[in-house]
Amino acid sequence: MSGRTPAARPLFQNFKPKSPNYQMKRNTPRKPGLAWLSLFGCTLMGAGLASAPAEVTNVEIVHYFSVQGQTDALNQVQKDFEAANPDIKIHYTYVPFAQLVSRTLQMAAVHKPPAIAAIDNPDVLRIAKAGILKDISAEVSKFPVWNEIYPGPKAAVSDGSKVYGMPIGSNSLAIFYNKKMFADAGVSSPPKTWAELTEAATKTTKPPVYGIVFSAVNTEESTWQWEPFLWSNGGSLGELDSENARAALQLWVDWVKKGLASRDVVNWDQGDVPNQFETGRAAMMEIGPWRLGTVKKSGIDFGITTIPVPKEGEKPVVPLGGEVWCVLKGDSKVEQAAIKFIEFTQEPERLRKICDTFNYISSIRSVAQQQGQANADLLPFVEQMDTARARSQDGGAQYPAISLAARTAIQKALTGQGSVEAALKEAAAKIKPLLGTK
Amino acid sequence: MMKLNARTPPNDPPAVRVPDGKPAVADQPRLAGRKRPRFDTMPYLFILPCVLFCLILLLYPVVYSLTLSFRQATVDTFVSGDMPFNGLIQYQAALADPVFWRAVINTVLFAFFSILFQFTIGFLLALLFQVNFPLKNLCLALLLIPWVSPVLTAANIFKGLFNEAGPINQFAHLVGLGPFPWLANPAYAFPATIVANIWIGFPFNFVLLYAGMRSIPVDVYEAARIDGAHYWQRVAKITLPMLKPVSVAVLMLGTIYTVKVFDLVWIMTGGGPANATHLLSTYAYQVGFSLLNFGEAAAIATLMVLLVLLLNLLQLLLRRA
Amino acid sequence: MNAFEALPRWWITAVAVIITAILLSPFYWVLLGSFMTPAELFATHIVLIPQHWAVGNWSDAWSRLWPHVRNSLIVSAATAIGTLLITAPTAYSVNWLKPRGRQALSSFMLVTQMLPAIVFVIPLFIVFSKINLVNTLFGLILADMTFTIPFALIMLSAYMKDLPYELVEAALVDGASQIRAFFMVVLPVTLPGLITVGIFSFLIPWGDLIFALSLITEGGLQPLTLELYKAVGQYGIEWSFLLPGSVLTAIPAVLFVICASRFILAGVTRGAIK
Repeated sequence: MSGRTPAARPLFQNFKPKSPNYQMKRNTPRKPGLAWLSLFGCTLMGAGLASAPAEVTNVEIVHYFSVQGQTDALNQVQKDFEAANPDIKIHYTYVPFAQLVSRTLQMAAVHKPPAIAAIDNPDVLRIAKAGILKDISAEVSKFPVWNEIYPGPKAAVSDGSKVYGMPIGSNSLAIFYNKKMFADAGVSSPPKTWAELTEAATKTTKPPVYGIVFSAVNTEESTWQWEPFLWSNGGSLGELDSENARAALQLWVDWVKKGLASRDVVNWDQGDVPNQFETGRAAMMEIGPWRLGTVKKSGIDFGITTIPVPKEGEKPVVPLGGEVWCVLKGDSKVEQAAIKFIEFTQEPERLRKICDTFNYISSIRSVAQQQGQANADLLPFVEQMDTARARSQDGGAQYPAISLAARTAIQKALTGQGSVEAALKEAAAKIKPLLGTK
Repeated sequence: MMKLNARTPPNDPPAVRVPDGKPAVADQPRLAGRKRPRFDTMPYLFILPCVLFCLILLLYPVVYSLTLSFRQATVDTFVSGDMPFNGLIQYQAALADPVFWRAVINTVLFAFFSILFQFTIGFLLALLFQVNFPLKNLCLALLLIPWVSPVLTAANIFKGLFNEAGPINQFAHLVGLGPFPWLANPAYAFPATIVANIWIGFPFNFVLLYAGMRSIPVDVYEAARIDGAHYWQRVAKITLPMLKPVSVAVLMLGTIYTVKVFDLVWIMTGGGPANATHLLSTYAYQVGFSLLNFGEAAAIATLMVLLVLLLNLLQLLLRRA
Repeated sequence: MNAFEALPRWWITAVAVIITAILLSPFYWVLLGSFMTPAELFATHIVLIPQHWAVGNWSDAWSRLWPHVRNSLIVSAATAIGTLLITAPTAYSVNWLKPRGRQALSSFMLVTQMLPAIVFVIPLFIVFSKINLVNTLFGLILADMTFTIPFALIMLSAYMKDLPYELVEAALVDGASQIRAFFMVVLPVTLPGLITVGIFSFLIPWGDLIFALSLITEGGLQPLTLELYKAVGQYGIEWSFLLPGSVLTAIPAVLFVICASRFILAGVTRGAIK
């Protein structure tokens, strides 16, 4: 460009380029890059459009299991199933936990549903309402294990006479306690009632160690952790302004007020809670069987007991956790293959193995009792299965909104933003209109 | 509306001005003798790829979202596809919700304080980095780490730092200040999220302002220095005005992005405790994905856009003043 | 150019390094923590130096992340290049050639930036499903560009405003076509702006999670961010993967910026125009 910009030169004469090696020629037009990009893009598109072979039925299973043991179990099941059924291919699609429901809905909306979705049980009825789940009541009633299913899991997947899924397994909550801390503080036996629980917490609270830790975070986990106390006291989410609910929430609020539980529980989810316990910062924690492996590795001498009840002699009522195999409506061949897969997983021996690796208690009575006998740590959970209640029983398809109102009240009361009565009253007011629209 | 075609910066030496509103090409006196084109396609050719992209990939989502906000799009209707039109109901529902207004206030405060500090820190750093010094490139790249790290990590870092038994409280303990309930108390949780956001956002401001400053010709500073202006006077009278287009863009984008911040707050507080730290983005997410009410979430998103437009308008007015 | 020029350069380096260290101090926890076991990480007292250097965390993280580096690189690079290709001429034209409708275009771009990403996710998923672009890197590139293109247009417009148009005029007088003038004058002069915008157009997809989450479910095609997100499991965070993984994810981006920032320095090209 020399000689071409006479007007410009005087303006920049004092300007020293910082990089003496800079060459204008480096600015070759980028246009060739565009051609490569288009070619690349087309190749990718072409690869995506390649179709699968015709005779084999493809079963896509959408799930959020990411723990090593769980994925190993899934792969094993896949291998065994494909060996027994060469004309069916299983394909797992991992979706993060928070995305599973919306992803399944999106896929159904574009008419490319997966064959099976492993849905968290409180969401099953809500998704069934969208009309995308197949009613498999006819098929599951033929499963031998169906007769032995606990009432809780059964209710979670049933809507009247329709059945929208088969539980993979169940879990719930219990109190894990640090035996050494108990001994040091003079707590002779694991607490069985609320009074004993509070007493044990009081005795073992020695700053910086807290007596008890639980989760009151702003997600479903909070409601889930509170439900054992609410339900064991005879309360329900539909009547949060009742005395039963008030007492249940007051229990938690008192713990935090007296310093038996950290104020940070409103920020701790079920990943943070065991961290506190395993590093010796809490004497007791409310958590489920999935954490057994890690707790054992932490080296703490621990014990497990069922959720304490308000008064002596009552039975704890815990919420039901665990995922459900749901079949989505679609191609009938795919649906049949999906049902075959589910039936395969429900064969008692295989079911037992799956539940063990997933740290589930089986939803089937006989299998669960076998598990309890083989592993004493699981006994409290097995005990609680009889009275375990499905969360969707307390609100059906509206459960998520109800849960949101409930945990807002919990957090308000715990952080002192409102009294227990006022917070619960507000939540009850929000919930009442929702109950009419099941 | 924003005028992106602002006049040339006030302190520019008189250059050839491009008359407003007319294609510059058609207006060049030096091209006397060249046939004046009847319709110059060049300007349109230059913007063609962009316009195509806009129409195909940007227009559809925007229109979709807008229509969704007027339809009942919940679990049952979304999948079947026939989402009934229900007018302004969702907007009314959103505007009637006290949590919504709390979120609006939080968003405005969040944006104001974040941008104030991010821009100031970024600007000062950009000034510092104007001179060449050894290890400059390395420092520049390292300072981008907060912005480059996944928000997931950054949010968890700060969640850990602000933990009741975390490092910040431990340092506070050393100087005798009581343990603060950082994330358990809304009065503390909210500033905590702002601090985290400042940490994440300052590199964005820093690098963009830095590049803008590099384009300012040295001799203008030389001339001012010769005239006796000292450092901060030069910054105020030369750097700031000449940086105006860039700083306006940075502030504008900064406002927009800050209002959209979602992951950070969601991970640190989940919008809690008890909905006290919700921003509009986290509130919209909760409505859309926890309650699966896509229609109302779209309405909140549209209201968010209106809020941002308002904030930008405010900035514009403040600048004119 | 400023008061610091009078000081010896190393003095400034010291100041810069101290400031950098202070501003990066939260990241120190990440670095340290990546060598710790979860037990040490949440111990009751602050652990400044890990007892046992859990190098295993790093090797595990590396082997999990390495296959995905390729995907992230492709997506980020393609997005950056595509964005610059599309927006550089547009920014130039909008500011200096002034076609009609430029106001509408710029305003529209601005509005799209204001919408949260969630708003784009569902419609894009629907459209891409219909044309089979889900689970392709190309689809992800297009999705990322819906964010970077408006951003680039706004920023480049700002940088383009400083363009000394008389240089272009001079070139045109000498008989160059508009296109030639664009390549020979405009691009070199606005290089610092272009490179900066290019850097961000690279970094934005590098750190993008939400588009990747919606559009890519096939393991082999997932970019780094998605793989890292797997550390957030159903039951809590896998710190021993998240922490080293975060550092590993950030390193290529930092290296890229170090290389590219040389061009910002070299961008004082006005004097180089001979």
